[in-house]
Amino acid sequence: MNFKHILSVVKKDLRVESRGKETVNFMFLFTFISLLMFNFATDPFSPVLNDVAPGFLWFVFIFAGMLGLSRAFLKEKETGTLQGLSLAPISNDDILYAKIIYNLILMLGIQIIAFPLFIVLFNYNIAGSTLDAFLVLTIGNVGFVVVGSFMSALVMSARSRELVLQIIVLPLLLPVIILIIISLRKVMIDAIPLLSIGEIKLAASYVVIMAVLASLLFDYIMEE
Amino acid sequence: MTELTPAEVAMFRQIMAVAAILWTLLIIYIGYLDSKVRSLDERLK
Amino acid sequence: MKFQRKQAVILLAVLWAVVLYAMYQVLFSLGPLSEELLRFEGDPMRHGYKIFFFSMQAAAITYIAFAVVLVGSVVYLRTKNLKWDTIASSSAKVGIVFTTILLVNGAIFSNVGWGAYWNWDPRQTTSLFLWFILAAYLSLRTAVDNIETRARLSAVLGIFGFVGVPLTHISSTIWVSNHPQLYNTAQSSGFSLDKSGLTLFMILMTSFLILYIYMLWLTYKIETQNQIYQNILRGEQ
Repeated sequence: MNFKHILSVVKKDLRVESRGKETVNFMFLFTFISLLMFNFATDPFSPVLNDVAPGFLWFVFIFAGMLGLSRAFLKEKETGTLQGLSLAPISNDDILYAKIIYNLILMLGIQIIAFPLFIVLFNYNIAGSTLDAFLVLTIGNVGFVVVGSFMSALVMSARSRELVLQIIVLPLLLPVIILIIISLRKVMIDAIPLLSIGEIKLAASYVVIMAVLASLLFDYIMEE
Repeated sequence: MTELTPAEVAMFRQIMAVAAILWTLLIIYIGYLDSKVRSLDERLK
Repeated sequence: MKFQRKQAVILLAVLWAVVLYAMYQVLFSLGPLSEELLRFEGDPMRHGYKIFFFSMQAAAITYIAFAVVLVGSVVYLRTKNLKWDTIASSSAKVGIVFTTILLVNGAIFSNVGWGAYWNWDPRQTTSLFLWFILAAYLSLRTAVDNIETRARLSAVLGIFGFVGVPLTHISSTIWVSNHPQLYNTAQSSGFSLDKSGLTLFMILMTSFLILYIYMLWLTYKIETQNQIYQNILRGEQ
């Protein structure tokens, strides 16, 4: 693990992104649109909204994330820069970490924009602390990004990659998705402080296991 | 000792019948696959 | 001694008879659940607990199938011998059948015990999670053309997917669950089997284990033949 290498790959990705801004723009617009869609799904003034809104908020990130994640390695594959990347004197693990960090930056950016947007659009009163809700979402997004980036590399050589990616990532993330929704509801509806929620610890440990497995197995994906 | 009421006996008979049919079908299907695999094995040799 | 057609027929016939006999015994001559474990008068669990004899077997076979996928994947990544990849994928195929049986059994159990086919009990949800993982594993395999790439990628996914097994196993302990506990923990409402029940349980377990191994062998054969066939096709082109 070499931080300088990781940082340089992250920098490279951010620079490429800042030129075209394809992924970020799409992700942001998609987040906006799906927030609107979910708003239409329920009557905005009915009390039901209070119960379902945390789930909606989390799903918005999952859908937007799917859009961005599938680009992480596929972009490299399509433009043919993957070879260059694997020829560079950077260990495979560092490439994976760099991709995870880059995706995380994207997701956090989306989160910072979408979270206030959600509160405004849904007219939502968070019962617990706003920071806790934000942190729960961040933990969920970390898990999502770890599994998603890894699997994005896995499906690189598959046919109809974007489709296969969803089918693989969503089942593997099912525990995290469920646990995050439960803890999000606990924070946003029942106003329970973050540290006394058991589910979030469980989700975090699942994410850690996934991250360890990912770094152990990444070498096998990159060998051609 | 078994303490089954008549209603339970009737229900269990039904369950048994359905399960027996499904189980028989599964075994027949596996046997069919087995014979197919064996004949293919001979042809591939 | 080679495994001949005649032996296969005998094996299947014996399996058929033994399982039917054991099932008959479980349904009609096994006693009801002991009184102190019943929750109320006329509790359907009085005899409904017998579903356990079948869902437990399916769950055990599902775990074993996942373990075989894991072992096959790890050994493939170490040795790059395609045989192991075929074993892993065959085990996944057989495993998805048993996981489906587990889910159906679980749904019936849930309906008897809790009054709804799908109760979103942690055990049920995580078992569905196992089913999805196997489905993802098998669909990844259909999406990759190159045999070696397919083997490598699905081996990685097979190792990842094994995480679901311990998760399912501990799910009813770490979450609030209605699922009966098999171990005597402090808060558990675990039940124990008497001698005849245990014998029937072991008979069923053994026969399903043999069935699993036999199905694995059969699927392995079919997969190998498929590969040979495809090699022949490629040779002709």
